[in-house]
Amino acid sequence: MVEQARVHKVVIVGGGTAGWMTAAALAGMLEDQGLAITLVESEAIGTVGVGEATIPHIRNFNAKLGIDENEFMARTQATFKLGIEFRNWGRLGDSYIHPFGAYGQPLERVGFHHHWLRLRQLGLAAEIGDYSLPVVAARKGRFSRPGSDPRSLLSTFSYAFQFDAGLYAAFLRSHAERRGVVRREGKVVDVTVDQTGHIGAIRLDTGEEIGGDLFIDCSGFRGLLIGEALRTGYHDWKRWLPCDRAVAVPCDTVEPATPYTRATALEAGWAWRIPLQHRVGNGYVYASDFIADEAASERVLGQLEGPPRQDPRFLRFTTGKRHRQWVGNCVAIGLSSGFLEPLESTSIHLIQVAITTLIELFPQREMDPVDAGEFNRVMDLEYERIRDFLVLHYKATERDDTPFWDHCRTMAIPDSLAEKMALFEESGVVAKYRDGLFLEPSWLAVYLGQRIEPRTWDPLGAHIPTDALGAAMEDLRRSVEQSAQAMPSHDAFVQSCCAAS
Amino acid sequence: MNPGFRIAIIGGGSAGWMTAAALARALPRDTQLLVVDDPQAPDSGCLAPFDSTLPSLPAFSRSLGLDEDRLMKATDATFKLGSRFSGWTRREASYIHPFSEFGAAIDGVAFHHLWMKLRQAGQVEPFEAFALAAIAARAGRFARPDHDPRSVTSSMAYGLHLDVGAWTAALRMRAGQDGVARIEGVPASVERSPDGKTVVAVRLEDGAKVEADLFIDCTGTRALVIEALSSDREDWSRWLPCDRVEWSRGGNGAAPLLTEATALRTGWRQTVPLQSGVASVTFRSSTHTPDTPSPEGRSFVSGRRPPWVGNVIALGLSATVLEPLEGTALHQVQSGIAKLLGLFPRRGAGDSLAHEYNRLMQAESERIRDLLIAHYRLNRRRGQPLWDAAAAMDPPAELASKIRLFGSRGRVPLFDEETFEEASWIATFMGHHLQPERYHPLADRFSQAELRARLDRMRAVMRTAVEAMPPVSAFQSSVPS
Repeated sequence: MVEQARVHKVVIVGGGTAGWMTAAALAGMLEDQGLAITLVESEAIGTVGVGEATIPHIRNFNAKLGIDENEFMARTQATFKLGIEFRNWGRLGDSYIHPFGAYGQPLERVGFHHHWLRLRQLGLAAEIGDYSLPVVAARKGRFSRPGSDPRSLLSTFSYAFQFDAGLYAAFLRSHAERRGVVRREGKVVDVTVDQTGHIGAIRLDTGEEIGGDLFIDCSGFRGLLIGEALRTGYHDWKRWLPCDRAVAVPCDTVEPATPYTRATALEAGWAWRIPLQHRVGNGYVYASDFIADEAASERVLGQLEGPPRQDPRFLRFTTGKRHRQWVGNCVAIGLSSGFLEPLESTSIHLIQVAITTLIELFPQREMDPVDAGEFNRVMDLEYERIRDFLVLHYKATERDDTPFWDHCRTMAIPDSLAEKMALFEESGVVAKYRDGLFLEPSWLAVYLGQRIEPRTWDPLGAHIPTDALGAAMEDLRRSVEQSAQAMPSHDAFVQSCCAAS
Repeated sequence: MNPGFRIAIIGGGSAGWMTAAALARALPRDTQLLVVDDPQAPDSGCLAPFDSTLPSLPAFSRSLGLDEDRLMKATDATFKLGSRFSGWTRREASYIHPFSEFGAAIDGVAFHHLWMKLRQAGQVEPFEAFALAAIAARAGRFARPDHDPRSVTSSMAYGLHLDVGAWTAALRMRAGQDGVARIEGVPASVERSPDGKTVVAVRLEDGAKVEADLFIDCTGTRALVIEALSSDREDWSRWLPCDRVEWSRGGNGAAPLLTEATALRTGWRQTVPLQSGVASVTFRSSTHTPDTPSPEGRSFVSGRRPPWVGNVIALGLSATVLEPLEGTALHQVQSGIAKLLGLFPRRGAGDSLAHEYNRLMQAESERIRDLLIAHYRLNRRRGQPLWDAAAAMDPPAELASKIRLFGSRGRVPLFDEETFEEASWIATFMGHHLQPERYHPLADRFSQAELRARLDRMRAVMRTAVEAMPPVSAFQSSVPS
């Protein structure tokens, strides 16, 4: 490539999880691209630190950086995660786990859940979760890493982590700095934008001016570059996802960490519980139209399992996304690009997708709008598909005990979701799309876990005699039970491989 | 599904009998399957009596338990490793769209970016010199690929060239063995329910009346049954100008293992190597052709319709009409069957199954359409009205975005239900000289000398694999042992 055409200087505004993940990933391009990467952050500005719970994709990210998993876990106080337990969503008293794994295997080309629906109607099947190893292992508090033999049940699940996002950012910072990323301390006080709408330079409160070819906005909700300097608008999705605030309180650990995250539906939102090695993260994501800040804070303090480790911290957000996440020579990554509540632990994943897509579409100095257009298409799709999946959690409820749930139960939803729900309700079929994070097993977990009962199931399975089917399913249930029972306790496993010092 | 569910497949032909044979295997035994066979009608799946297929067809016949060697003998079939497109750019130029990938990525950098870097530096072999199927086809060598993913031949796949009538006969026999009933007759009219939303019966010319719960419309371009419920059809002839197909036996220049697609002044010609000799199929635009039509041919209008309406599902040409420039005719029938089995109609469900089926089939046929249009839009023949008009047209949005992104940086955005994955689009774009302006900067992590060595090694591995394959003649159907 012609040397002048190259992007030479990348400036990342903001540290935190998004900033340091981006810096660490781009650092891999430093040497061969002759790239200079500067990250600007201020210790005076706190990081939001959402996304303490993750999904399995983060393991690819870490693997690409050459990070040793056990070391990473010890350094970030991490525990393993097999899924999320959802309590009180369909009805008060309900509980289901959305696992990182499928339910059973297709039988005679018909998906397992269709056979299950058929037997269930006859009263011949157990809970769907009893046929999923990660669900049963999670309920028992057991864990081991999956096996690689495709014939074994032990290969039917995946796992992620629950960790301290602040420690993760620090861990990645040392990784990035060792590889040549330069960190500058300071607050951005001015942004220079030329007539073409490209950012030329930023000026810090220290007086230093930093120029660059490509600017990455990791400044969080504020959107210092993409929003304030470039005035990129924002799609507000509150009409579908009404929560707009959160209050967070970590507490001491009083019992062994569970290998799963919990999301409990409350009167005006939901509470998270994320067990790490040294503490438990707690918080309440709520809709300010339906509950006051103090009441929300009292609610979460009232159900802490151990003494609080700090005062409640409040956050405000607008669920939605930027109209465009790449504008001119500025790419927004992390909360500056949009916000989806962490109900399915997707915050870090969205950062990861943005980084991967940016590297795939890495621009030249003279920004080609075709690159930005494609980046925005990919990110829009990723955001919208996750949004629909989150909206499903609120819509699929029978709860009528508070005004908040009355609102959610009866609200209009995006057409794209209404079509998917209608298909499942009528036929038990999960709509198929090429792109989008959540695949069939995830949709099944939430549909079935929140009482969307299909009216029919696949007729192609009807010829299998119910007693043979029942026996096969019972065999599976028993193997799942035995395999889970044979795993070590999650706590023991963490102690043996990756205890924080 | 209720016991005794009655399915009537109206019209036989390749689409009708493929559907009958596949449904008979997949559906519960107490389902009543009836085919109204109309042997005099033009085929319901293919526009011409000879076809060039994708690799999905051998897989389909295996799933029906058909022995491939015997099937090939019965259908005059030969192996296909891809298509060669001649004269679409310059008169003498040609390229192969192979049934395999090109080269291999190195450290996550896609092969075509590595190749582009070397090409910019000067000397590199043609792109297709790095595709196993293209190398094998040029060498006239073939062996069924290995299933072991570590073997280089596992990256290759094969389709078939075959006689459509004989293929239909093989499936008719298979369906008959599996209990499918057949009556012969010419469908004449359709009886609808009082609300006009479903079909109650189809009347035949001899007066017979066929009633069913579900009707599969395999009446080909006639679309008799579905047309009774909806005349909603989209015409694609603004992008795809050919509307007349003619065929003949004989001709020359057939290479083994490849379908030849040669651009002509007013259309294009497909050369299909069969065991008994070459068949030649010509697609023309009648507005650009003054000649009187030959009797061995038929007219058509490219386009599609929502294939599932009420209790009628259209499969084959009754649903989508596309010229077989990329060998997709029977693939679309197969895919329609597979999707139908995944969304099988049942009492108690609403119209969301039809809605989902139509969404998937629409996406699929539009993306295939886009690949065909790419050949016209990117042609470099000049001074010929059909081709000048094609080069000037506005392509559909998804194709426009593929052309834009590939032309600028070698990226192919892929959408829902793509039949052709990235390698096929790259083959087509490269073949039509749509050269990306820049390669990915990560390709610069390798020096030219290093890339040269790595690419030489890839070619050597492929050449060794091809030399281990036995030679085949153009008209051979089985692999010499």
